[in-house]
Amino acid sequence: MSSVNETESAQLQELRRGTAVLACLLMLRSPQYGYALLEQLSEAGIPVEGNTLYPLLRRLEAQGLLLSEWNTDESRPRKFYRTSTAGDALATVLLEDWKHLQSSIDRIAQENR
Amino acid sequence: MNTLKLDWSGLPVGRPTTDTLTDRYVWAVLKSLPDSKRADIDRELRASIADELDARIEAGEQPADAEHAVLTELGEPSTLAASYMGRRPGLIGPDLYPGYVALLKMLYVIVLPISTVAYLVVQAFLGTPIGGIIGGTVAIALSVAVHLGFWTTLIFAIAERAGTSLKGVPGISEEGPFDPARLPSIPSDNGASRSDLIASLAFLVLIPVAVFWQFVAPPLHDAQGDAIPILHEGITPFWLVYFLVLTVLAALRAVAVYRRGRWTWGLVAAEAILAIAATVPLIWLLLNGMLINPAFLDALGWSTAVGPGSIATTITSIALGAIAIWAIGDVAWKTVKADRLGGRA
Repeated sequence: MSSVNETESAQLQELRRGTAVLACLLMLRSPQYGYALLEQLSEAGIPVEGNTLYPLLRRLEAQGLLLSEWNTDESRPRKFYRTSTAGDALATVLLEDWKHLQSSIDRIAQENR
Repeated sequence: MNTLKLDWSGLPVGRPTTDTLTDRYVWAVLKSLPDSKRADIDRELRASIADELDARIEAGEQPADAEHAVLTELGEPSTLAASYMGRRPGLIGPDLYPGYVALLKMLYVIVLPISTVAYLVVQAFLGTPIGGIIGGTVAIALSVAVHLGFWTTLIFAIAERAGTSLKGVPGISEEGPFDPARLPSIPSDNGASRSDLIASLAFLVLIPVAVFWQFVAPPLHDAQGDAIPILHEGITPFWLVYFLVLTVLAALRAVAVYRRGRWTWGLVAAEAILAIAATVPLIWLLLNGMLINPAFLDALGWSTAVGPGSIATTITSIALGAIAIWAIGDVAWKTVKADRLGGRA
């Protein structure tokens, strides 16, 4: 029985893997830092684990899709991320594709009841 | 004495001065990361862990439990470090792996047998005692096998880390994507294909050639500079003609299998007769010391070890018998398989 759950959670992870990038690019239009972003994503219904999110943010920054800045205002300095112009453009493209995918899947589900 | 270095952000960098679970965890993660990234990931990871700890403690968790839970969720430090580097853990990645396996197979099938046999032959002509030859050959074979495996793996592991692709390496990968036209044809395993015929005939041709060669130009010469034949000089022409006839019959048998398209029980019987007719006299000659020229053995320094009645002749006889039995069994099995595929013999 547990192997069925493992398959299910593995497939769910696969499904979410692509949406995590889009969700980050959209959310980071307002600057945010690591853990707060994690909480925000979870509340928005796109839970991403820390060990996925933190390397992902660095990767997106390395690809030029995010900009980062250390904020030393508070006693605990935090690294804030923000979507760059390139990231913004990509987010728009991904969002379009996402809408197309959504309507396609809906149509397939309809036709194959 | 602890030197607590603080950088501009006010957080300590370098070796942690406390020994909490978080310290140990971050240390383990940073260990596998390059220097240039360490400071930044150190700060960011600690801040994220601390933030989550705060949130959990506010929600009512015990600090120690919360710390344990957060670190467990973050997972194996080496895996996290690999994610930070954008690398999946593994020695050789999926794009290099097929080339790696192909190269290893080629090396083991080509280089290993050649070097082992070469060593064997050289040692034989150097006159090393037979125990030394066997031991040396086994040692060489093992050593070559280990080296082939190790250096190939090492080179591919380095290439993987250096981000190389296999393009432009001749023989391992062609340019461009996979092309179905280049697929090799399915090898037939029913023993009756053209390549089987060619292999059989080539082998059979070698026998009279070898016999002729060792009469005319054998490898060893005695003190007077005369050639020493390998085969016993007392071998009567009867035996030579006998084995020559057997060779011709075996060639005919090979052609018959090819023409028939598969092995049949009749052909198996023919093979059995030929095998027995060849092996039994060979063993008898060998055991009676009438096969190999004693002068040849003397010249090699092997006569005591390999003369009639010695262990070497016994082992060779057993080996000859085993080869004959295997040959018969192999073609019988091919017949059974061919029967299963359709049509009785």
